[in-house]
Amino acid sequence: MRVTLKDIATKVGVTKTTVSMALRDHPRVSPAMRATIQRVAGEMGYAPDPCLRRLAEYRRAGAADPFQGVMAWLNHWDQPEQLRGFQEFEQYWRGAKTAAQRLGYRLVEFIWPADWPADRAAATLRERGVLGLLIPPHKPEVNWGDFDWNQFSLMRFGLSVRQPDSNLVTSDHQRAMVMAMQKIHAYGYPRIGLALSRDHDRSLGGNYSGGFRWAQRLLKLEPPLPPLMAELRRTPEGRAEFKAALDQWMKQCQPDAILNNFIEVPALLRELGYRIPQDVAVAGMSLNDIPVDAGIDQRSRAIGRIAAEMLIKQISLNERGTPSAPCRILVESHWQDGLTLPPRR
Amino acid sequence: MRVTLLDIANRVGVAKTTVSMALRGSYRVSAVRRREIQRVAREMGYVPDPFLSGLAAHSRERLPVKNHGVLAWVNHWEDPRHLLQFKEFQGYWQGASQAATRFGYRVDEVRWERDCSPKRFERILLTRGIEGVLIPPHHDLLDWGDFDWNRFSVIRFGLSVQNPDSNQVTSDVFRATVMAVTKMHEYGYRRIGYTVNEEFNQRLGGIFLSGFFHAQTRLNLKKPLPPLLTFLKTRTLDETTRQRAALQQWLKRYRPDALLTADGEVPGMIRELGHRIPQDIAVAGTSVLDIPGIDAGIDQQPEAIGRIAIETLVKQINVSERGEPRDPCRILVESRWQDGNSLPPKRPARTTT
Repeated sequence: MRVTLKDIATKVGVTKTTVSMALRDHPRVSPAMRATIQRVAGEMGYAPDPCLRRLAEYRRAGAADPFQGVMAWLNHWDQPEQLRGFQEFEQYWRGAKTAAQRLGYRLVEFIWPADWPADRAAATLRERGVLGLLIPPHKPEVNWGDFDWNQFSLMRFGLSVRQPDSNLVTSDHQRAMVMAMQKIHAYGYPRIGLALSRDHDRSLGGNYSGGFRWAQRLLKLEPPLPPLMAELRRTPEGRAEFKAALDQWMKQCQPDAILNNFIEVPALLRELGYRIPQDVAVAGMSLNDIPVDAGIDQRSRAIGRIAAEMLIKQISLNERGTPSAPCRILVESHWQDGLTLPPRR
Repeated sequence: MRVTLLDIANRVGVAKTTVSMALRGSYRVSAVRRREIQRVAREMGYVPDPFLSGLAAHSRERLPVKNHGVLAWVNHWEDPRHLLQFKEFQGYWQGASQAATRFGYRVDEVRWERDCSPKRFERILLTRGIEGVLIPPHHDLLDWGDFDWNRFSVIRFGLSVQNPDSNQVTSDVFRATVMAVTKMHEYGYRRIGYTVNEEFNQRLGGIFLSGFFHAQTRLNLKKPLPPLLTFLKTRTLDETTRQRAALQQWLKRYRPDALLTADGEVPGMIRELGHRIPQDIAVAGTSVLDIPGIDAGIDQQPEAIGRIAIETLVKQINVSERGEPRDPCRILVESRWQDGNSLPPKRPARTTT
């Protein structure tokens, strides 16, 4: 039997409206009463029903409905277990999972095996009652086949995949870049370098490099150091090639601080004889997977939460498939202090 | 008497569930049937009711819908009439008003008079039963003082209003700038210049210049022109003269064949300096709607921005998100290019990659 607002109201000895408002954290109910009601609701196993949210008419009728809203985290990686091995993506998942639960939805991971055709994947999702899809980052060459996106509400994470052209949530790269440069400069480092994969910057629409150029101008950095924009292939030769490029760039530019987006750079710098932070301070452009402790906290968990909330909004509006005006939802990053980039003054 | 789903169902001769699904645009009802039901619902004057908490009582007593939810569009301009003279902002208003109706809400302009304290303004909003607030762009910085945002769900339009630190809906300036410069390049222009008011660019986090710099790199321009940062603010004779002289010097020195401007004064000044648009220099604007004297450039899709602002605000109201969120986000809507006579293609368009 479903626990209703009325059951909770009877138990606490208040009106149903008060319960309803308390569960929505309405300020008209005192914080103490809100806490009591929320505790009792939790004990009685009350869960908000997304159908009620979606259908004002349904709520009016007051009928019980066993349906639970389900959304799926679509994993079409070649090695699906690797996806959440990345801290950043694991944080997306956790943020989304918690938010979904809070709003009465269940988030499940759906692994789409490489040998399944698109229609089988879509049919399976529908059979499981999935209303919305969260699409985590994938390799750019991911093959979705002729998957029918129109059957689901969609939300993408990041810009790594081009398709489907749905709304997406990602971090505010341009603003994060300017914020980090201002911070590093304020910490007493005038020669700020940038180490960034060109392909990665391209996939982000140039938000990092564009922000870097503007920040150099804003902070009046003289001379403005050219960024190290190279690719690092994950082979022994690729690593050696990149190491040589890094070596040359370090000698040429002599940065006293580096804003870095390569997992391997801290180790390579040490191999080249630089001490962090004594010889060169290093900040990460993401703290999830780059082994430094100062830099940009992209708020990955918040990104996951916001993606789930926005997806639920779309489900409730019955927005399926790709919208006519897709939008990008950017989450502001924070700075995190750490030993790899201490303040100089 | 209020029109219910059952009334519509009886009229059309279908189940109540079918009406409900049709009104929500569900694909489980055929397109033809959906349109029919939506038409009948409109004719019968059906409106959805946002007051979920009162819905049960509503149903039993079948009272008429008296109180529509009201969302406030706050206007604190020195001359409040100026706000809607900007076509961009008019677009926000229209998009928002239309979308609000879909959810059973109405958008009211609430003027925050200059002599009214923030606290008093807060009380005015509360007295009117307002739960959701939209803040359109403002030129002046807003001082909210002790206004308690925790009592409202709020969305800002654009980047000009610095606080409250709420979610905001705006156009994707960075991407639009790259898109526009790329378009101008496709149209055969090679010496592409850019003008933006320095203070404005700074206030918006350098998003204009970041986009322009990236576009120059992306297009691999041989001799990238430095942008001209304008400083005109007061329109006094002296300042205007100095600004015009700075523009003339920049044009003479860098000889751009095309110009993208975010400064609305620039096209007029170019003509005053005796240059013809587009014969001597082609000019596009970062807002085709509000930059006078040009008709090519960026269409920011203001009505979509208005619609998305309402959808987000209603979501916030439904889940009781009030005040400043811990992780405020920017919702960016993609802009489109608009062709016009002020920037004709020099040669047939060719796709650049």
